Amino acid sequence: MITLIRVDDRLIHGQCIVRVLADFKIEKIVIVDDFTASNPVLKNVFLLATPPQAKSVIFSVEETKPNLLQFIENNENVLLLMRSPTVALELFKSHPQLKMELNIGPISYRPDTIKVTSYTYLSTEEIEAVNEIAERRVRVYFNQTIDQKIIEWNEVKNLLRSG
Amino acid sequence: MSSTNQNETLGILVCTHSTLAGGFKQAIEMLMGPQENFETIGLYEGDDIMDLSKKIIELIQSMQTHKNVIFTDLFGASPTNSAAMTLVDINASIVTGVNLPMLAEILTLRNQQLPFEDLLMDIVAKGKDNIRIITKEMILEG
Repeated sequence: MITLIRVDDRLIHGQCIVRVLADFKIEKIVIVDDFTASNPVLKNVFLLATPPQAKSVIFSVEETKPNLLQFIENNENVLLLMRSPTVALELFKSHPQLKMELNIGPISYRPDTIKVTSYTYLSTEEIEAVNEIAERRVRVYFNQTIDQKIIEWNEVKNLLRSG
Repeated sequence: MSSTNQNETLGILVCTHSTLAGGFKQAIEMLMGPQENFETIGLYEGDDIMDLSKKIIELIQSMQTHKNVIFTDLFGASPTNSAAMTLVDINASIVTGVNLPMLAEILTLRNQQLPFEDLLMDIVAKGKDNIRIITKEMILEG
């Protein structure tokens, strides 16, 4: 089953391996990222970074789609991990049976982005993707690790509009 | 990559979350005085891991050292992952789980012309050996 759907542009990293994998008892990490999937060096870096208690697979968005149902239906705790909300939107569209919750973690600053939380920067395109995901009745929330504050998309979206 | 103008000293870069790397440098210099070819870099909230990789390559190249060791704080974490991505472009190995004893050891031994692999094994052993538990009983009862 998919235990957590998370957007985090650092993919597998300290916060992830120290807290998220343990908190959600993750057994399999499914990384959905075209760039990482097409780059053998990056692929090796993230496969190497996977701690022994979990297994990672790395797919492009298109490779993910035919495999996603299997991850939804199996008995393992799966972390579905991607770098951008635009990818999440694509998967929510192709698989309506996905868990209706999206966790957004750290996304780094880029020149065209707006600061949404202290650790999340979103581009206009990404904000639109999040809006569209929320309109599909998916609960979107910002959270780094479960012991830290949760910020709901509903709390920040109006601030973005007025700002 | 031409090695004719590169100095033979081993370049050392410490790459960690936040200010830890800079703290290591300050602690080392308190113990051993100023060090050449010893650079540090931190990853901060909001930083991009690809940018960190680029900065690591620039720092290593700025030292003009033929061989380099990158020390990182946590295996599997972004500073380590960013460093791992640079190994395509630079001549370096990574040692994860950096601590002060292993840094002091490599800065002491790096000019002794030991085979690179032996040096790495040696400093990793030193780093592990320094992790001890001292209990109340050991102090009170001897």
